[in-house]
Amino acid sequence: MKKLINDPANYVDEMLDGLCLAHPGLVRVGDDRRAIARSTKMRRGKVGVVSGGGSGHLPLFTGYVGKGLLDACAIGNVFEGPTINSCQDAIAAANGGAGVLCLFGNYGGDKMNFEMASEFAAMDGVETRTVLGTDDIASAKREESQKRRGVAGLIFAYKAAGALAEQGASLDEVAAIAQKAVDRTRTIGVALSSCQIPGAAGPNFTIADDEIEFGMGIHGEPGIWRHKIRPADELVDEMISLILAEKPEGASRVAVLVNSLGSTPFEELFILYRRAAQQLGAAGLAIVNPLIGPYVTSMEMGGASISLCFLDDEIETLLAAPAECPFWKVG
Amino acid sequence: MAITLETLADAITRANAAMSRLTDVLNAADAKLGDGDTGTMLARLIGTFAAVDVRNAENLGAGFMALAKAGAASTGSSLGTLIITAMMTAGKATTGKTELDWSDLSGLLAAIRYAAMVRGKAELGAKTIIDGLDALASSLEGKTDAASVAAAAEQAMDAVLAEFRNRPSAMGRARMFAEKSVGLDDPGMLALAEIVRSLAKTAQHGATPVA
Repeated sequence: MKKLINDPANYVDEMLDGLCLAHPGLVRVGDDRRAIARSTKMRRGKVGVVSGGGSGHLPLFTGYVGKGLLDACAIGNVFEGPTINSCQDAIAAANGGAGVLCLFGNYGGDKMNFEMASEFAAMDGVETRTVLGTDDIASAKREESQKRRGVAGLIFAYKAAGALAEQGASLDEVAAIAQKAVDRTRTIGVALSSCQIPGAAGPNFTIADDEIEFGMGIHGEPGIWRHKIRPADELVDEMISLILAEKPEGASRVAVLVNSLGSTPFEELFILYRRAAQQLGAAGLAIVNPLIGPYVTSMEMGGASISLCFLDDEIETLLAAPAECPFWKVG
Repeated sequence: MAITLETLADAITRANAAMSRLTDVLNAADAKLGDGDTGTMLARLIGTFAAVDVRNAENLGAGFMALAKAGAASTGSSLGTLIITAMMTAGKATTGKTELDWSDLSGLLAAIRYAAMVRGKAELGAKTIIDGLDALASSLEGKTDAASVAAAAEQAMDAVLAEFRNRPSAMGRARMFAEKSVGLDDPGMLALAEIVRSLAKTAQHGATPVA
């Protein structure tokens, strides 16, 4: 695959340099400068909200650092968790003296590194809580939802936790709202084409031109089925049907994210959204503030995901609160 | 002769040299079910270890901790973090010691295996590097010199790979390909085995660097 890069070894650092140049509200911090923080000073007494993960998913993870969202973010090499040091740097940057919420996807390396970084932070007197994004319903059965991966739906938890932290809530309250947002969010994706890690000899996975993989993860993890490509409406019907099977009791309003995995254009996303809106309406669900676009990608991977966050009054209010980062502005 | 900082530094140099051959082998093994970067990540991590001045550390504990610290800045991968956990465990176990008897290596590896299980929330039998560490620790029980350690370690690595090859993976990304993982070596276990084999060969056949 052709890429507009220099030395693959410099891919992440050059990307981060460009991101911060383009968005002066962000700065690189830490000894190896693999954490991104807000350029404004952390407000004393405010709970910090940090995330982290591998590169290759912009706007996730670093792109959501901003007012009303994340205070800092640790970033690893492409599809590789952030280092323990980067996690420590992100926690330190987000420490305003009221504790730090570590909110990231349910992946092995990320978990281990944030866990070790949190142990080091505790030695420095910084209290942390951890909430894991587990919204990908294709990655494990409902009975084992704690094993599910975190994908695009994680941004709803960012938004809810970031908004509550801005209001001055306690660490436990911020962690609780993040967990509630995770618990009420479901995502499923479809993949059309692969991506390639810079410097790798070949693509991350292979898929025939006329095939689609239903439920594939954002690193090419296997999905539920792979068949010949089908009309968009059929795919959306199956995606929405699977998500609605897990609808919390009493939910009547949903936030919707139709997300491009990288190379799928807005036109196709709107075709997907059109059908999703029809199906959600038919199910008696009111859509609130739909998001359509590339919010969580896998470089040049083709495909899309649909996330639904089943709202209650508290989450809906927090999702509507003002926020601003390089890729998402509310209010 | 016991294990000293010189032994540790020498092992790192040899492992680093071996990675020039192993990088592609391990990437290829990982690419079968993963993202194909295990060899590249390990080469970077061991290269980072090789740049640490272990010989001049105050003692073995300080040497292992210096390796852990350097590694913590080098990689965020699951396997990398387990290796860093191993270095921290060894550092704590050898605090203040300038020598470690070969007969104590089995116990140290058992402590590392336990720490890796706790850190990785992993069980034995899931077909991971932890099963490799378990086999290695068991095989070295009662071994009191470098040559017998090397011979037992090499045999243990052959045996554990053969034992697990036809089992399904139950941890990490490979668990999602459980059926496809049957017949394949786990990349982390293979990495441990290949490095142990490289070190064992030189221990048994003299100090010629392995490449």
